[in-house]
Amino acid sequence: MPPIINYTDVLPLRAIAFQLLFLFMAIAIEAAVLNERLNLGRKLSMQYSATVNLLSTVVGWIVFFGVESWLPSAARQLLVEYVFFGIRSVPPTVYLIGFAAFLLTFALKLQGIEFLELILEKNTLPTVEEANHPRKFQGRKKQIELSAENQPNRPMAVLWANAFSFVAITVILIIRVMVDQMIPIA
Amino acid sequence: MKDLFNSIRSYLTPKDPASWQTFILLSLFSVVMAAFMSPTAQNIVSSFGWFFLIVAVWWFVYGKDIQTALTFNAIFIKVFLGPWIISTLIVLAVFGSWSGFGDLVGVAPPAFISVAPIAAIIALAPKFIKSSKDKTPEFTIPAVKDRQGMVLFFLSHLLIACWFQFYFLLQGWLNLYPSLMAEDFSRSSFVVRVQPSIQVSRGREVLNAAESDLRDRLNNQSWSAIERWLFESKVSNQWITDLESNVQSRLRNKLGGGEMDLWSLSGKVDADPYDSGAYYNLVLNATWKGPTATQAPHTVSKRCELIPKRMFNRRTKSTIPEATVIGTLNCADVKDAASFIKKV
Repeated sequence: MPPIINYTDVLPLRAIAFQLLFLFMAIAIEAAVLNERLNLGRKLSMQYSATVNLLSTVVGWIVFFGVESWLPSAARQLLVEYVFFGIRSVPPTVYLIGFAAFLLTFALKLQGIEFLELILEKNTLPTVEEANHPRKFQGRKKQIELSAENQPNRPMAVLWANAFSFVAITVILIIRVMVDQMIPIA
Repeated sequence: MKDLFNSIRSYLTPKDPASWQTFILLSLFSVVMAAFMSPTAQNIVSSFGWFFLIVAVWWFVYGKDIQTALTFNAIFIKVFLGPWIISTLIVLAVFGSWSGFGDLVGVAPPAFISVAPIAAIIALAPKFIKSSKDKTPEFTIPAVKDRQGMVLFFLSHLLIACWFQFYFLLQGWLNLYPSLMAEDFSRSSFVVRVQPSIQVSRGREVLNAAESDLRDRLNNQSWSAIERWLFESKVSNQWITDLESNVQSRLRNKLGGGEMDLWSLSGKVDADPYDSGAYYNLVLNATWKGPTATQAPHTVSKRCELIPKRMFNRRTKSTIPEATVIGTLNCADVKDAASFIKKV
């Protein structure tokens, strides 16, 4: 961060508003997906989704601040332009950054749920007990299939949840850029 | 007046030796004592004063009535301001200094950024403490049912700290490139200006520096030397590169000198319309190559005139005064080509 000599009235209020909007959207969407796919119950999936989304937002900010301090001057000027004057044409780098963000948040959310269950001393994955309950009067093959089907696949659920919330946020961003393009440049 | 004093006094008189009033009085006592001490001792004693004050306020805000008075209903949750007050005091004690007090520069960004996480730690601290059988506090791991809420609480305070940090990042950028303040931020998805005010871009300063540099070079030179200089300036652009580097070295150490590389100077010398050599026109352009709202570089220009001036100086015992012709540089004020200034 460059040294600050005088302070201005330029406040990041829009950034905060957009952040809150995206955060609430992502939490709601991901809670729905987690509830659907993992059968956690509404409250629990809401809590999980809120925790991992807050965590990934905070980690995202910290990564941003870290990267910003290493940026070369030309890249920082580009960043300054996007932050202060909006984005009108989306360069390929932004797609790359978006994709990297998707993968990183996915890994972080998966790990975040793991940590959260460690903190909460919980083990929601029905592993040993269910597997030891053989269903009677069914063929052996069917048994295996059923148990594989019933086992909630957490990485897949988190991947879907993340994908849905990213799509929703991207749609909003596309609308935003399109609206911005309609306004003529002063 | 006396009643007020008495009521304050009765409010501050400890009902119990172990109460917040005791700590307030201890804090006041430390401050009074510190006033009479040498600087080193003063530092130690005044930090004790801060410590007692923080303990007293901590005790005070967790009092029964005070806690309900300081709790506000946000949309989803109840927000208790007590931890924020304590954390502000702690930050002031750690980062604040009396010399730079009052202006924001004195309180460093780390202070603002750490307020929210410290508030979260203060608010969560009681969950880590339980009283044992003999009424002494003891460290404990929070109950399982509380943990989910604690994690969310702490993370949301970290997010607030990130927002503070982002504000300071923006200020850092604006200090690096002060000319940005002359631009229109209405398209941004990140920032708003609370009080949009007209701010002239720094192109004016750049051109003024260029003008005074030229003035140093041309004023009071003989007209023939100036005409030779003008002729050379038509042939090569060396003079404008020299001027640019002079201006850059002149302004670099001033406020926001980091953006100097983004201003480029260009200039052109013209004879008067009839090419009579009576005077010369000089146009100086400063072009901002940094980020702009319009995505096009904008140019600020200044028009100058070089006029010959006949100077007479009569020598003693001489009937005819000697005439020398020198040049003078007259410049108009800056005209800003960008239209956004009128609009704001």
